[in-house]
Amino acid sequence: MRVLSQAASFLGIPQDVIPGEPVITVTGRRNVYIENYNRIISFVDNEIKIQAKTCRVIVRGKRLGIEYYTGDDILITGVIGAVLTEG
Amino acid sequence: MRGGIFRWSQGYIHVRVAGYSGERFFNLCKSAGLAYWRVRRQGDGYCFYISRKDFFRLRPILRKSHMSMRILSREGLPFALRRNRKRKALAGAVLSFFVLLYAMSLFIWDVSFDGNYYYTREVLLDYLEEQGIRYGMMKHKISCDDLEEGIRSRFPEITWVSARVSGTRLLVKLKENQVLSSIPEADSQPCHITASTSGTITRMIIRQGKAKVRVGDPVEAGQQLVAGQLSVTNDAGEVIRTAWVHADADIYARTVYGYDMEFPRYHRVDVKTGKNRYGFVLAAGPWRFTLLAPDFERNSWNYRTNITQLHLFEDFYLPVYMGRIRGEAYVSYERPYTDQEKEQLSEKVRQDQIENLMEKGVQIIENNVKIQEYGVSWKVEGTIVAEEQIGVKRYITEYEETRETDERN
Repeated sequence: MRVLSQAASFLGIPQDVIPGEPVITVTGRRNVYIENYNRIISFVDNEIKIQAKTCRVIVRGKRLGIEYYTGDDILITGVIGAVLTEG
Repeated sequence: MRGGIFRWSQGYIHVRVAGYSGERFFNLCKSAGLAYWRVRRQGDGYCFYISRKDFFRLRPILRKSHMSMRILSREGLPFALRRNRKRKALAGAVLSFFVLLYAMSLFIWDVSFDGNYYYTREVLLDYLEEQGIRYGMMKHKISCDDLEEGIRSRFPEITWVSARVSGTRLLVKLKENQVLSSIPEADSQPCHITASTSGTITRMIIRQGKAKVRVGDPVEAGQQLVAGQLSVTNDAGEVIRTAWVHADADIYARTVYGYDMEFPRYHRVDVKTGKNRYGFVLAAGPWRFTLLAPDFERNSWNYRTNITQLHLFEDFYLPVYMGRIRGEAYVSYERPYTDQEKEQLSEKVRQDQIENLMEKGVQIIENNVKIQEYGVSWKVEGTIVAEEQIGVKRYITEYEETRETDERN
C-alpha cells in the first residue's frame, strides 16, 4: 500500500484512485458517504464506527442511521457532529 | 424514485431486530449480499427495511448473531394485492378503468384546425364529415395522406396542408393563399348597362358604349344607362352598320332608401333579482348529468354554462365534458318603452341599416330617422340618402340582336 501511495504521488495520480483508501464525502450536516468500508464496528444512536481497509472512521452526531449500503459503500445520515479517523 | 417504485413493486418489510450483537448481524447481512436500508437505532434494537426476497434469508443470520426479529409492517404491491384479495369488485373497477382508458385512446375525440382564416372551422368540419371523418371514429381508419390531398383539391385557396393524429386528436394545419389563385378573364361579350335601382344621376364615367342619360336625370330601375350598341351612320345620317360593344362605365346616382320597423307599445322586461345559483354538469357521449342547487322559491332563471372537454395530457382528449353552471334569477313583467329606450332602439335600427348599406360599398349622405306613435304600437321610420354605383351589365342576346336588325330594316 505504501509503495502504491508513493508511486501515485510520484506519477501525480490523485490519491483516491489508490485501491483500499476510504473516501469520505460529507454533505453539509446531513450525510456522510464512505467508500471502501469493510464492516461496522459499532452502531449506536450518537456514534457509528466503521472499519475501512486502512483505518477506522468514526461518525458522531445525533439520530444517526444507515440510509443504505451498496457493496463497499455506505451512506450515514442524521445530524452529523464530527467525522474522525483513527488507526 | 425509480428504486422506490421498483422496491414497492417487489414488496418490502419493515422489521425490528434486537439482541446481543447488532453490528455482527449487519456485517453478516452484508457478507450474504442482503439489501437493507434506512437502519435506525430504536431503544436496544434496530429498525430497518429489507426486501421481501431477502427477508426469507434472514433466519440463519439471526441465529448466528443471536438476534431476534419482529415484523413491524409489510409494504408493497404483493402485500397490497394479498390484503385486497377479497375485494374483487375494486380490482375489477381498477382494471376496467384502465381498459376503458385504453379503449378511449383508440378513437378520435377532438379535431383541431390551425391556420384557417378564409375557410371557417364549420366549413372544414363539414368537409371532413363528407369524407367520413368525425368525432368518435377509430384512429386507424383515418388516412392522413388522403385527407391532405382531398383538402388541397377541394379548397383551391389552401396551398399547404398537414394532417396528423396525435393522441386522440386530429391536428390539421393549413396555409391559405394570400393572393388570387387565378387572374380573372377579361369580359368582352357585348352588353348594355342598366340601372339596378332608381335614383338621380350624379356622376358618369363612360369608357365604352353610348350614354343614354345625363348627369341630373332621374332614372328608374331597369332603365338603360349606357348602350352597347353603336350605330355607324353615313353622311346622310342613315345607319349603315351596327357595332356591338361591351359597355363599360361607372354610373353614380343619388338613391333614397326608406325603412321602418314597428314595435309594440309594451314589452317584456327581465330584471335580475341578484340571486345566483351554481351547479355542475358532466356529459359523456349521449349521457348528461347535471347537479344544481334546488330552487324552493320557484324563480325564473337564466343559465350560463361553461363547458370544457377533459384531457389527460396535451393530446389525450376524452369524450367527457365538464362544466360549471351559473344561474341568475330574474323577474319578468311588461311595461311601456321609456323615451330613452325608444331612442336607443331607433338608433340601433338606424345603425343596422347604415351598416347593411356600407357593406355594399354605398356612401351615406343623409340619414333621417323619426319615431311615430300609433297608439298600441310605435314605429321607427327613416330615410337614407346615399350615393352609389347603380350600373349593372345586361348581356345582349342573339334574339335581341336579330330584333334590332329587323326594326332597322
